[in-house]
Amino acid sequence: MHSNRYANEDNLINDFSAGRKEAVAELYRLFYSRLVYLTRQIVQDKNEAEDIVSNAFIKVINKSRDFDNIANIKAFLFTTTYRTAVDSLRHSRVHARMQKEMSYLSDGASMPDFDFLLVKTEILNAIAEEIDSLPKQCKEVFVQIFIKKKSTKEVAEILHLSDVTVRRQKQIAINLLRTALLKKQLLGSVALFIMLMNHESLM
Amino acid sequence: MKPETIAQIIERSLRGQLNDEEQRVLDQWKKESPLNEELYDQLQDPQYVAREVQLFREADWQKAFERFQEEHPFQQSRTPVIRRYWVAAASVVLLFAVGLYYYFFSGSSPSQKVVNNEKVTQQSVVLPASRQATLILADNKTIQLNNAPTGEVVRDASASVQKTAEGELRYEGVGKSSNTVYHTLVIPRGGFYNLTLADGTKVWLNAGSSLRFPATFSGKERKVTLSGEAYFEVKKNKEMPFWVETDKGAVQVLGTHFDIKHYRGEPMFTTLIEGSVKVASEQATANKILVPGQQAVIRERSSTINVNKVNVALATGWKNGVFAFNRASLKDMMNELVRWYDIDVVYHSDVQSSAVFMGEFDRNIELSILLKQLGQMSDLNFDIQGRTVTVSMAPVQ
Repeated sequence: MHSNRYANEDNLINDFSAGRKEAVAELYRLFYSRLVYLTRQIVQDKNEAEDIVSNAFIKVINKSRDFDNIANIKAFLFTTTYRTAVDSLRHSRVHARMQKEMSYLSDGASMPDFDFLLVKTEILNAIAEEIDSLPKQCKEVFVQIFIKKKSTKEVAEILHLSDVTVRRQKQIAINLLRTALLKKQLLGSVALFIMLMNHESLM
Repeated sequence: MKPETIAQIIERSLRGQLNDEEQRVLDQWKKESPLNEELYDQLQDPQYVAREVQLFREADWQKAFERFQEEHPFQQSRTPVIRRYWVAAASVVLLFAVGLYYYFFSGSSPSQKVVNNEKVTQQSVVLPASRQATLILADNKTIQLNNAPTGEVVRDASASVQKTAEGELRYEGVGKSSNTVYHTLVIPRGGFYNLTLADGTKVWLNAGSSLRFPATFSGKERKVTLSGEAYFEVKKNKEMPFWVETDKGAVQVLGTHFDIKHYRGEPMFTTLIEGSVKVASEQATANKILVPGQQAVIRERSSTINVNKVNVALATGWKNGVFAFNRASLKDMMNELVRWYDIDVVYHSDVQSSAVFMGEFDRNIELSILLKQLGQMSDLNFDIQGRTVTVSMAPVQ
């Protein structure tokens, strides 16, 4: 369904200025998940975050003739999203202060830092893409074990694989990610290694 | 530093693929904030990573786009439905407009990517700053350096002043002189200049600055007086400490790289890149010693010295041809443009001056191009008439 006509940025900006929906789809593909992730760092609620991001896309489409390049669109999307999310958070804190039972929301915490959230978003995005590019079966096993916390046996059932296959795929995923995550001599990575080792032993 | 850059470095560090330079950048980034340090530690935990990655996976762009298409069917012209939606959203934003944030990415050079064929009507082209300076000698004689030819500009008993092929000024001691002769280099708005003092110290001067200094150094100390902004690479000399004085405070140096910024009516900022400096307030009632990566701030009506960690690349970006803003207010940002482009600024009363700017921009682009980019990335409108820029809020469509 997704075409490759946007290898060139100029095509994308031209099509977007002309109001073509393929260009809008491409912008969604490029930025949607990062925008939602960033917003969820601020408002937590998934639906509200998605609404905020959708609004940002609507605004950007309304201004579609005003942008010279993709970097400017990206900047506008992220700043608009961030600002709306922060406003929403401030609003719910004001509201919470008026209802004392929810005072934990307005505990005087400062506003989330835009620069920091951008960095965090970019990092996790890079890692998510790396996981996404694991071989298919490998990725599925990884997701079941580390994200859904299933045991080897359960995974074998869910994915209709033999126990041996599951263990093997898990090992491949761990190896791939271990080289990805483990090489540095950091305290954290030693703990990670131990954790992975313990997990493997829970056959 | 751009988020994409540090993200790449962190990703590579998790893979153990960092070189020394990148390791330094990473350590510097971690030191800048406890949030950074904490995030880096969290990333070592695969459960944390898996949980966060899951949030990404939950955001299905295709479903979202389909939903968008259902609610706003595509038409070439804008439909009332979309417009109404936009107005509702905008009013929410304006209600809580205190503390707006803007961010701009310098990804592509703005001057290269003007794709739309818009009619560009402007009365005059406003060019960025160029090398211009006036040298004032001890006898108050003035020399316009832009017109001066390469070679010796002036010579007296103690020093020879040369203009180099690159258009910089260099001082060379030629003989001993009992009197200390002072020269002043004045950089107008719309100008910048570099010079090398008689001891080998290099100075970069930003627009709207002036430096008063001895043609040659003798005695127990080297003292210069600065108004505006300068970046110093001071030649080490333990027997002759180097001092920079402004009317807000003084900085004592042994041999090092640092930036001092004090424009009239603004705080004094001293940023240390390498070496060590001591910053003293004007009445010498307080002083602080800086280590690299720190910045000392003395506010306008105060003599308290506050020391913070900063991103030194941002603080000294100007020397490398970029505007680098780190949470600058709209006013601070416009002041930089005023000095660099030699323009005036007028603010509409509806402008939210609590806007905060972060990011980097190439300094060597024509003003209208820069302002066009800023206008696209934010809710502000920049209108140029001659050499005056009017800032207002962009109309809500």
